[in-house]
Amino acid sequence: FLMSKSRFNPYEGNGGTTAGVAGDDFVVMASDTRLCEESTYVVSSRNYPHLYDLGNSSVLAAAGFNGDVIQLIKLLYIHGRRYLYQFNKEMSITARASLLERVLYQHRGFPLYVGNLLGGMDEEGRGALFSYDPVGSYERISYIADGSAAAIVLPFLHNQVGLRNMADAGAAPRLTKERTVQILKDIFVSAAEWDIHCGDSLLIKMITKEGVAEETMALRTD
Amino acid sequence: RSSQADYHRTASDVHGGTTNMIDEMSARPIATGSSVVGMHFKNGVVMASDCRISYGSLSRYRDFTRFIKVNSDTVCVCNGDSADFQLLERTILEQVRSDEIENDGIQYSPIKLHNWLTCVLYNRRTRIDPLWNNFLVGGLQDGKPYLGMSTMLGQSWTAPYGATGFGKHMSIGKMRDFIEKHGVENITEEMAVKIITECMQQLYYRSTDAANEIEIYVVSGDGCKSEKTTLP
Repeated sequence: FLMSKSRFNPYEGNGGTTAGVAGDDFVVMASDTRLCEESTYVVSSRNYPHLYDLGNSSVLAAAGFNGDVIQLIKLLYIHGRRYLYQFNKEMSITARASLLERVLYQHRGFPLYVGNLLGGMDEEGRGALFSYDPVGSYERISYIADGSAAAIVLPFLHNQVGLRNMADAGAAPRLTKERTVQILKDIFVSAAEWDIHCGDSLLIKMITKEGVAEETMALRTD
Repeated sequence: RSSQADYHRTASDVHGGTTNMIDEMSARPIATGSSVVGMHFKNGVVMASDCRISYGSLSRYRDFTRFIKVNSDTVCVCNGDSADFQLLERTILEQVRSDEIENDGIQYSPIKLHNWLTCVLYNRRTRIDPLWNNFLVGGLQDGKPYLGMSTMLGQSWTAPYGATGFGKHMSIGKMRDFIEKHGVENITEEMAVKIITECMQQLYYRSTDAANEIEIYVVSGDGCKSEKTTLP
């Protein structure tokens, strides 16, 4: 009887679905803007985007436990400023990617419960996208989805961006920024239909060498 | 510097972290307050809570205010453990007094208080010794209505409506519907107070730890005013 006492749980899921696609000269990052309490099925906010600008046209998509997301963003911001003041230039995306891995692994014993996608332009002008697990394991990847509806978004990206599982894919045209945005809009509509924690609206950030542009789209609110 | 309110010292720090009992001391709230609700209106925010503190099923204190009026632009209110609330109340008011002594024109604002509270609550949660309170911080930020939620786990967000406890389930839908139908810029203080009062009424009907003596705070361009009423 005493064994089954419920202990204080320091974590809670706060929903959020994120995705990123890296092209030859752009990266598109997307997230829904719903913040919810997964255990009580309450929507806390309909306008809480999960994309964060970290500087130098890099964007972090972070969803998971909101308390840890906030902490992580603060840590990355401070590290970014320290680097800027010490070296008089912004961190490159590869440096930022490596930093994020270090920050996450430093919390290996009490993880930051956050699924991260880091996007930005690399030093050769190509789109760079990195995907992380909560304790820092990362790889550079050309497209990925994370968060509560990842299982809905990722297979679609495999098919439309990765051109997988098609009988005769043939030679596909080079992926453009506009087509990528359309793909993400389409799949997030489905994600909002089929995942209870996804919805309200979609925020898309398009990163190019010119900087970061934004677009939003309404999603189902139920 | 000795501080009356050492919110950063957990039970383990005080007692040297020796026994298992220490680990479980903060594992549950003891004397608790019920839900709080709040929403934006055209010129500010309205927030409400009841005045009861429950000790399990005993209605222990019947005239207890869970609001902290920080200044004429900033108010916060919480649910959950009343001892943890009083610790934070002491800390906040001490900081306000320090600011007054400093007298350099720097004052608290809702966003500052909200961010600070989130830091404190997150820090205590990370030590597995939480302050068992969910806060609503409201007021005027640069002349615009501001309502922020800060939970005991360190989650934090802003929205035009907010509630804790049972209010999350019962009141958010009502406030959200009203705001989405009318738009915040068309909601007067009277309309907002009416909706908030109806929310508190529903909570009194359906939540076992809610009471009908309620306190409503309105923060607007005219300053901060509070009112205690008894629901029918």
